[in-house]
Amino acid sequence: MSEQSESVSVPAAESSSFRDPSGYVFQRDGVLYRQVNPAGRDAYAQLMQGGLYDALTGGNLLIPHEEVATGKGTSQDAPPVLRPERIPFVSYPYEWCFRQLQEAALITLTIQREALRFGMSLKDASAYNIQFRHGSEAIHIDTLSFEPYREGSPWVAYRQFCQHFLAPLALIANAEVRLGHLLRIFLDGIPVEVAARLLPLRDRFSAALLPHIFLHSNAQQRHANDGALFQSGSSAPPLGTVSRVALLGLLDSLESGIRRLAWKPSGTEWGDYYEGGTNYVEAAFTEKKTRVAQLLREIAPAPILVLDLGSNTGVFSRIAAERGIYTVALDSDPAAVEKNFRACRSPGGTANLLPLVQDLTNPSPDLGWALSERRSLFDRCREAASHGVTAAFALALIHHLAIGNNVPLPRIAALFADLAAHWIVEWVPKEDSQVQRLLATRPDIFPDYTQAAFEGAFAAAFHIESRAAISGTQRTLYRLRRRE
Amino acid sequence: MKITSPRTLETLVVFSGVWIAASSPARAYLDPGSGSYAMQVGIAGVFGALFSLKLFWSKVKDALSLSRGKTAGKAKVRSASPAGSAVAASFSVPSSEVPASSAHERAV
Repeated sequence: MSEQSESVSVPAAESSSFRDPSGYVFQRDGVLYRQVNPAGRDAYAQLMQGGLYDALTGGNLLIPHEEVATGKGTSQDAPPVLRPERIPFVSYPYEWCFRQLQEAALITLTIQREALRFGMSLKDASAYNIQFRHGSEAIHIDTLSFEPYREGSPWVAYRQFCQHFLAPLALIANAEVRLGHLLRIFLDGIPVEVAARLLPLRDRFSAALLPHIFLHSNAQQRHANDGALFQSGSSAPPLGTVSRVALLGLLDSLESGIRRLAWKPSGTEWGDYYEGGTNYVEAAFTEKKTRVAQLLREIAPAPILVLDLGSNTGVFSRIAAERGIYTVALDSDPAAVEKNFRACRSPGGTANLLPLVQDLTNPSPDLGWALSERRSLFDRCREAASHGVTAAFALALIHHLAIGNNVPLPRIAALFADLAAHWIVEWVPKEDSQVQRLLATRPDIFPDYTQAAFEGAFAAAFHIESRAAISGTQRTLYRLRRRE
Repeated sequence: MKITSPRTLETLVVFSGVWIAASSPARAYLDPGSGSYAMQVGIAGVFGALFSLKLFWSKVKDALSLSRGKTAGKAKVRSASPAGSAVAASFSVPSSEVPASSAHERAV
């Protein structure tokens, strides 16, 4: 940490930053800052001076920051303003695969254990406080999430941890992978009562799920009306305490439970796509990779971010990420995203590659309070574009949108023009076996799905910079530049 | 289901402990939920006892592997009792002592 003499006044908070009175996040000139309020100053001082900040940032568990002066002439007494390291692309738990959520859960528990070691405790356990740095490295981003630990206190964030992490992980692992989408409905995590009703009976015999989901759910219902008692009985001594050993035991039980949960990425539509054989022969697949790399090199100035739409397991995303470009690989299949993420986390895995579950026919919308608490996928793409040139891939995707989802080509072109300035798009003609497969069970109502119509639709918003047929296939790669 | 299985034992202990529930006041900006507080207070003793047991077993395991290491090469050493091995294997080593996750590996 270093103090700088930069002058920063205090503008309005980011739309998602309003719950915690100890501080808030704001942007100025495209730079993200965190204001520490008077209410959070003591806890912040303890974090910084008590050794916890150094331990957590040294272990890559908490985002590092610099302190900047407030510019109010009272730098000694004014609450500090922090400039945290920037996360290139913010993602949300309902966009993560199983392993991403599992790693986020495990670092939250590790951080809480570290905090206890330094006499502090996490006052919230929101999955939204975890982001992925360098693509796939889970890290806690809320510097003001810590409060002094009071001996005997229960963990105030226990319920939130169960809702944000344990319940969705258990549902994905033991019930149905698509139940992970419930996180998009329940923004404060899946209530344990809901999880208890959806999980299979056998989970009642799990040493972790029995207490933390099922009995927790019963306790919630039994004590649903105790709030008034809490307030009216404030002069009475606490009815019970939780010792430090018990708290460590609780964390240990949660960790064991989360580690035991496992989900194998197979059996979904795309997870085995490449293994099962595509309609590319190996030579054509290699040629496609070479051409994509070449087209990417032609984009000037070099993009700071690449979006790979319909990325599958990220074979082409890696071409961009390995060139040092931060790459967000989006796919609707959780198995493909899981495989991509696991490959990123394996030894020698690609850095700067962030795989996310995202269905382009129903992408993440604006959500939460005033519809501005969690931002839509497209809004975040636009923000990324405000920091520099962004490019996007749509490889073997157009036919899924146009034929699989009946979206007219001009609408696809209009959306693409909104999202990024530069595109590498693969045209897949109707004669292609993959398109034939889509048409096998339905009438062909797509007379306008032709290469000429494709070029016409995209020419309205883009310059066609180059086109290259891929040998041995009927497909064509295009490099497009948006008309400004 | 074997009653002697450590996971079963853990489940039974947790199960029997949870019904002693109580409440304590909340002061944080986040609503911890009355039931969640009661839950923690109610089974605090169970979690604490289990955690202490795990610490004990990891020490026993360490001691056993240490003595095994000393005699290695001289004679074939019998493994620890099946029950003991099972308990040690079923309970992961207390993570406060030996971090194991990827996040832990990154931690200092």
